[in-house]
Amino acid sequence: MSSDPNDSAANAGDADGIVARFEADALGIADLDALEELRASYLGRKRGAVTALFQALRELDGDAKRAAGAAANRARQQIGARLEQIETELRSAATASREQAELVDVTLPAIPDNLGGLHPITQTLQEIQNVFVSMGYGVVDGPEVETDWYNFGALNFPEEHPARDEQDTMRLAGDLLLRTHTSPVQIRYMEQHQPPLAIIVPGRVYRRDTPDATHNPMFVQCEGLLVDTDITLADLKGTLDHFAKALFGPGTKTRFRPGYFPFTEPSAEVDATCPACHGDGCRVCKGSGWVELLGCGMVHPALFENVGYDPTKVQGFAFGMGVDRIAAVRYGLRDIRAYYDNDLRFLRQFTS
Amino acid sequence: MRFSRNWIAAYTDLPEGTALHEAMSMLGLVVDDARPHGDDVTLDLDFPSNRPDAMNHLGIAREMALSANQPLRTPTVEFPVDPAVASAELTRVELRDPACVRFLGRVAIDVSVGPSPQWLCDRLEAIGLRPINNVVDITNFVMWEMGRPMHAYDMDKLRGDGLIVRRATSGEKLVTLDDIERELSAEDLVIADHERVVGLAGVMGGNDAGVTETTRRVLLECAFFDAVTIRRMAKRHAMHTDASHRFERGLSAEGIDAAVERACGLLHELASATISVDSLDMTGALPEPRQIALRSNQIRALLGVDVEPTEVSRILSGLGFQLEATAEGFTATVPAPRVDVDREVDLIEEIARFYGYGNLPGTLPLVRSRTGGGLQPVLLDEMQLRTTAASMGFWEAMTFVFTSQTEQAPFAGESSAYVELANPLSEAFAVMHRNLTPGLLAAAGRNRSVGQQAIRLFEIGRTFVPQTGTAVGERRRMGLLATGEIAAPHWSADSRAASFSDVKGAVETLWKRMSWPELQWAAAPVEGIQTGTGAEISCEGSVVGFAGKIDPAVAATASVESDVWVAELDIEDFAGRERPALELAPLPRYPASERDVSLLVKNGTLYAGVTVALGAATDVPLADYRLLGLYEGDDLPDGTSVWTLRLTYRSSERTLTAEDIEVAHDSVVERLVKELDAERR
Repeated sequence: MSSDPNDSAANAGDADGIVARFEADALGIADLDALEELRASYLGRKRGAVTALFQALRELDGDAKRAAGAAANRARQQIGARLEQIETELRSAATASREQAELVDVTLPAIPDNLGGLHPITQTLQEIQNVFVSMGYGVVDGPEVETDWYNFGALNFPEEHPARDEQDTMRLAGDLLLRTHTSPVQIRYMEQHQPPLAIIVPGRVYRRDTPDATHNPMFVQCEGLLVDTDITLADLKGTLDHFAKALFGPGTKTRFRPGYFPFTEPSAEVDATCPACHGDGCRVCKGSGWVELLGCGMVHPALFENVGYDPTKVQGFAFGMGVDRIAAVRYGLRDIRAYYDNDLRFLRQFTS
Repeated sequence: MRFSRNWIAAYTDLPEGTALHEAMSMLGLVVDDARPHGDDVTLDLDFPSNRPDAMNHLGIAREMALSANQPLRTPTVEFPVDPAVASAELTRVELRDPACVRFLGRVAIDVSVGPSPQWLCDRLEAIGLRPINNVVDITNFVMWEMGRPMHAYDMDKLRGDGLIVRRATSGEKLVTLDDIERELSAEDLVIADHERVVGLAGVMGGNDAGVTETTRRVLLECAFFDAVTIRRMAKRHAMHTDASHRFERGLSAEGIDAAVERACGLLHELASATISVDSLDMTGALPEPRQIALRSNQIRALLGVDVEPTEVSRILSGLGFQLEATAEGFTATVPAPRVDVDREVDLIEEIARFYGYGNLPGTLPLVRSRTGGGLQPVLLDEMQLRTTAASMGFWEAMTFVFTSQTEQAPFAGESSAYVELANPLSEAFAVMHRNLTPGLLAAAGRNRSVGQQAIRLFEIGRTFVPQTGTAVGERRRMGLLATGEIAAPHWSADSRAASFSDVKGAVETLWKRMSWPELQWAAAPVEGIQTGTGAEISCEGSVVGFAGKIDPAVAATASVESDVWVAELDIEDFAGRERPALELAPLPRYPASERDVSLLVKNGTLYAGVTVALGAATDVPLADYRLLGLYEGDDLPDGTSVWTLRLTYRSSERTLTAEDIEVAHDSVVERLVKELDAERR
């Protein structure tokens, strides 16, 4: 403080003088600490100049006391208001300077993510699984090395029949082979469980195809099997139509055509309207508006006999789809060799 | 399999353009391709293997006609016979093997062999066949019209009296029509004269007795051979002919007569032949006609819709079934050529096909399952491992399970046995993999070759190990690979190369995520891993995997020059395990205090010593500890480094005083110094 406000007498003139000195002192205040010091000098209980004015009132009487009291109150009010104002100014200046110092360029690139990702076939399989799990199906798997019996015989492939050649088989020693489809798991599961049952079976399968744009010697299938007492072909139609709509969108239509599989009778091939062009015809569907979705049918009674079910008491349907192919349709992939090249430039595009 | 549109249209009216393809596919005949051929269209059909009876133009027309409710125009066959010419007097046929169920021979004389008329050439050319001469062309035409393979022999080239159907003797030779000399085995069924073989039954005729321009007398053969016999022969000789294609799918004794009649009619018409009055009909044991009971209520039970009995009758009669009404529905007698129809469901499929799959309703069944819904535990665990690995920056790879021993050996060891493929695609795919690491390394190499620097991959898949005899063990394994920069250079942080700790951290995170028992890591030599970087990973006392840096020489074979860190674990015994029940710990009631200590340790000291020292410190209120820093500086004595540990002290009973903490800390440091043979700094 440039002067001591206490050295003056407590009267109205003194009050005005104190306010004037306060105004002069206040001009030099640059931070909150100095402001608090200033406040103590004038309004502080112990050494405040205005406080002294009030203490001096005890010595006065009558009009003089009233006038001096009014002057002291005025001084306290004026100084208080001014202190308030300075504090506000200082605080806002402090905020502004902090904000200036901590300015963020929000357009700067973020810290890069450290995310990897799932293979597109895994992602597509997850979506397929979700549809059937939500309908109450279980998801199970089975061995990839199979016996001739489980891969063909139990599935009603006649011995030495050309139907076996259609799935060009990679064989191991003895009667072991790499399963050509996930259908053997139908047999294995029915052998171990009693109906009613509802399962899907995802897994890798193997065929002796040289890799090209539309073939790989290894690919992923997903099988489905529902067995109960009174399941019909109409139920199969309804289920797969629901599935196609869940996978490709509610506007999807399906088409059932007769097909042939030794393990189903009647058998059908199912097409869905192309998810890329919604049926108008495009590159993905080779202009037809339809894409092949899967093969299916009513479980052949011979299978029920082979697993010890009574075919007069149970009925069911089965279906099998190539997950690689469905993924290729979804993503418009032209060359499915990309699935097994594991090129990160390819994998990184499947970010979900 | 190629067919001519005009040829089918000769027997029934067809829809125009692509409506034809649509109509055919709705019967189960997929048009793979359609190409114009003059004013005709060549249709490439994907024919189901169970319908050899319909693999002909008339067979297709029959189905199209029935489906469209249109008449079928079967060709009329009329020709004069010469009562003076009797096959039975001119030649003989002898069946010596039951694999020939029926053999029908018929003689035509005064045959004028020459080019076929244009209409016949057009038919054959439309389906990709080359016209040869009118006699050969007629046999081909009849096969493609009616589905019965047929052969014409030049009778004057046959030695001895007629034909014999028998097995070949081992070493006999035959030059087939494709000019290839074939050595026969005792399992081959052949047509022979009395001196030599003249044809491979059901597969291809021979050159010696074939019809040429000079032929005057023809012996027509149309037979029914056993399917498996023909299939084996075709495989043995690596021959696939139009005839074998039909025989191995199953023909019948019926239909032969009509085909021979048709051929005779054409021989008369196009080669002005004189046809014998009789046939040589050699018949073995014919199967009884099959009769199947068809119940109306079963049609509904299977299809979910009622089909009127009149419609059932129209469909099945139209396909050649003989029906007899019964109380429950019908008894159907199956026409012999329908080798695919065996049971009631087969009849119901025929009804569905012609009722129209598109006309069936679609209903959602009530799904009932005794075994419950959702993923089985092992699949759930695999999915959790995948999502966890992906969330840590690893990309899921899928690699082929077949590989070469050369690729596997660095990791499996030179003496390992492999599951071998009996018929591999190539040497590069000759064995089943035992380890996932080689496939991941190859994938890293391919990525490197396209300029990818930071590579992190993982895979979950089966590996295959030979067991006793021919048995194969399948093991689920998980592999992880990291090479190049873990974090790319960026304004916010320095870049950092992948290290052992990255793969170790990933493995431990995965294990923790799955609540599987704790892993132990021990330095050990590992196949394919650079000496001094390898770890053997154990769990519950058994080795479950390895980790380390791939031997640079091995990495170089995959064209990866940078350090490649890998871990591979056998998860077969863990995936699908029941999770241990969660034991919830109460939240700490008293505050924790931290103290740091720096220790000067000799290089080569294992950090495992810290675990040993502190694991035993149960008498002090030590709540946690971690390695804060590793320092190797020039200011330290040679061969030493400084480890800084941060120790956390907390009691579950009271707030520790400064003195409590000092006492505990001194005790802990003392143990560390002793166990690690270290100096406190």
